[in-house]
Amino acid sequence: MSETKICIKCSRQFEISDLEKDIRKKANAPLPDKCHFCRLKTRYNKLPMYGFRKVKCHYCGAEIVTSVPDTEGRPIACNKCYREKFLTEIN
Amino acid sequence: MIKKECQTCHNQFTIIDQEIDFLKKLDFPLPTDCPKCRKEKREKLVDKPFYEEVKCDNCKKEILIWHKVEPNKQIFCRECFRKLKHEGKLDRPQPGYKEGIPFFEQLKELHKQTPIVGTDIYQDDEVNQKTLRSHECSYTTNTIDSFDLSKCVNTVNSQHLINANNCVDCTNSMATENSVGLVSSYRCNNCSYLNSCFVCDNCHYCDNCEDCQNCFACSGLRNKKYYVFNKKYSEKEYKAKVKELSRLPHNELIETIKNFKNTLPLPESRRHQNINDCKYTNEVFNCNGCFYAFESRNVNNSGYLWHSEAIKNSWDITTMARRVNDSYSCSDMSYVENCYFSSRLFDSSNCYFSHDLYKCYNCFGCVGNSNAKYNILNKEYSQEDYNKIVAQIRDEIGLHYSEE
Repeated sequence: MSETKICIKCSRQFEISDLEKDIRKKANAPLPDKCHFCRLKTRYNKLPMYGFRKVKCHYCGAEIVTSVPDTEGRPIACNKCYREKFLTEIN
Repeated sequence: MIKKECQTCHNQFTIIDQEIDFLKKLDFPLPTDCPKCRKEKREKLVDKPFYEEVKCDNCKKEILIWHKVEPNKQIFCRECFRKLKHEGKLDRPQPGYKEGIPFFEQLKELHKQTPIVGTDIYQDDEVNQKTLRSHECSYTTNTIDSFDLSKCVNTVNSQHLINANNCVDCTNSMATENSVGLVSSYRCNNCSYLNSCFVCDNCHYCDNCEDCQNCFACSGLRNKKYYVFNKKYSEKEYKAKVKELSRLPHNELIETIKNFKNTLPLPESRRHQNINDCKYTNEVFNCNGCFYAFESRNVNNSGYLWHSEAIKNSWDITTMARRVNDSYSCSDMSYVENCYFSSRLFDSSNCYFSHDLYKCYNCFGCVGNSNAKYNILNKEYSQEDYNKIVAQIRDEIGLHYSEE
């Protein structure tokens, strides 16, 4: 049966259909606690933004231009350092 | 290179030589706005993840529209629109160009009078397929809240998917199967909560991984198997570890993963492959000489692109543009040549200031036309008259190159 829930972010009512439940069950994913608009927004915040900002490289300190959104809250490395230092270290 | 101040946001922006050459060749004026404001203006013409349920003006069936419209505008469902058009009852204005009135005012009036076609809401049709709020879809089954899909099965709350299968909460995914919560990921099978991953199998909560199998909460791995928190385990240990982690409540699990990843760096730009002579780009493939491009493939000598594919010698192109040649300031179009300041064109060429055209050639300021030639403001002219009036309008609105 479809279920109605209240979004924890915008406190709007939203419906979880049978279909969505089925798919989530198959994929072993929990039911959402946010409405689809808030979910869309959180996913969109993770996408690279269509603009650039200047940051300093985590390793070499050089100034780089990146489009990674600042909502990620993680350090950013220049492509060279990322490849040569981070990737070689962990791989 | 010329420096200018943006009319809208008053920030300084530069126009690079490549762009100046392009505009000079076409005899177009230099842009007055910065690339960001220009993009926002173009995006207003494109369908966004927005929907409103309205009723067809003819049969009162419920349909969806994708952009806000003025209250008095005529809206039809696809069937009624076709029927009325076939019977000749559709009241479509064909004003043509009148001298003395500014061109853009005439175009605005035409936009107001032209009826639009809404999208049907499919619900429980014969094969027990349910597609709700889809857009530009093909072969979809059981799709909800979706956009620009193709060949999807059981998809929920998704965006720009291609060949997806059993997806939930996906954005920008390509050729995915049995996946949950992907952001910007390509060719992933049986995966969940990935961000910017490429060709992965059975991976969960990873980012920036490529060619991995059976990884859990990892970042930046290449060609690895059985990794948890960037550490290698045997197959048995991996299964036990994942089982243990999966028992945690979802929010707690996400919090632990976030704390682990907090110190790991992200790359300056995502996946670049086969690129030559490109500046300021992110997620581009097979590109040559492109400038300021995002999520683009097979682009040659172009600039300021977003979500586009197979573009040549064009500038200022946004969203779902496919096979566009020699065009400027366009959005949402496919198979198009020499079109300028237009949106939503298909299989057309030599069009200016137009919207919603299908198979049109040489149209200037037309809305919702199909199979038209030498039209100005939806009225047909002879080739000679067309050229004369177009030259006249271009003089009137100042559509010529100048250094200022």
